[in-house]
Amino acid sequence: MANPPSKTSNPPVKVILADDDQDDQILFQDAIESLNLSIELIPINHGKELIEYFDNPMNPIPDIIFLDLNMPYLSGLDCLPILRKMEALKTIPIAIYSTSSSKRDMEESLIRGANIYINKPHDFSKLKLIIKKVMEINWQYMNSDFDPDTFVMSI
Amino acid sequence: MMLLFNHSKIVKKVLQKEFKRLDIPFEAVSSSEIKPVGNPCKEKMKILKKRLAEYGIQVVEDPKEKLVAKIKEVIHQMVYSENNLPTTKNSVLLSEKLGYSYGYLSTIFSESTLISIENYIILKKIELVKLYLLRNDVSITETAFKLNYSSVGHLCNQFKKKTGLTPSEYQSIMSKRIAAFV
Repeated sequence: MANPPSKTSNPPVKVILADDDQDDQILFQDAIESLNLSIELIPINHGKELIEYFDNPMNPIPDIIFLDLNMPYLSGLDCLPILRKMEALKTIPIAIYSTSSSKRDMEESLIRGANIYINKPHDFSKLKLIIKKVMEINWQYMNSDFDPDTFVMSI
Repeated sequence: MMLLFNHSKIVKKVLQKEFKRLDIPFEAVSSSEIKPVGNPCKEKMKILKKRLAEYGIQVVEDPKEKLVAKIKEVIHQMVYSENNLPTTKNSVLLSEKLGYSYGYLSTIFSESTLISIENYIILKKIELVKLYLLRNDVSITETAFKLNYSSVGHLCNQFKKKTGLTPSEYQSIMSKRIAAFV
């Protein structure tokens, strides 16, 4: 059993954030840093770049992917089926991280294979709480006998 | 194709096969604890660990992690015992079964898993609720009864709190997802 990301002696949990909004990228990075968990953030600017990232087998596979819905070139919804078809990503949790609070976007994301739907909060302390919760739950799926296929959550 | 399987049976078979392959005799202590008989050489144990890892079976050596694994096992048995859920309080049961104070167990547990024992038990129950929701032969009333919820409302509330979805939303999303991926 691996140790939790709070113990620095262990390799950090690798997190990808695919988001074209630079402010959101910075906010997310700040939130992660303030959480005191051992997390390595890999920033990616849009959907196409995300797919290209996984086309290169040298790039490390993350432990979780956060994915914005509204992105140029390839939207989050368009990315989902492509990512889910990749063998290496079959059991990697994908969290949608979007400003959209529409129920349709939430349902469509989860149907297309996302595990978590996060409505981007406006408040920094809320963002911290949400990321913490997601990392805690994700940790259970990584380290207990929880079935990743049934992992669905909306925050 | 819908598959129903028994985890412990599969694990047992895998262990028998892999230990035999390396000619290491072993005896089962409990469903997730085994003891190699004699003193198998380090080289063999290394190969064994590597092979078991391919099945997603990890050998736990750190004493604290061992205790956490045992806590999880007891919780698994508690949640999956279905109709005869123990009436004793979870904390008392864990403490009795493992021989440590509940305070000690919960500290060790949350250090390792990031969540409390109480929260873990709830998540574990929700996992089982999800399985029942995906099967069509168990009603939600029956599920609530099997898992010791005081009412269907209580189950639905806890489900919504932990997943953000109502049980019927979950059912609808999962069946559409399965249809989309077939």
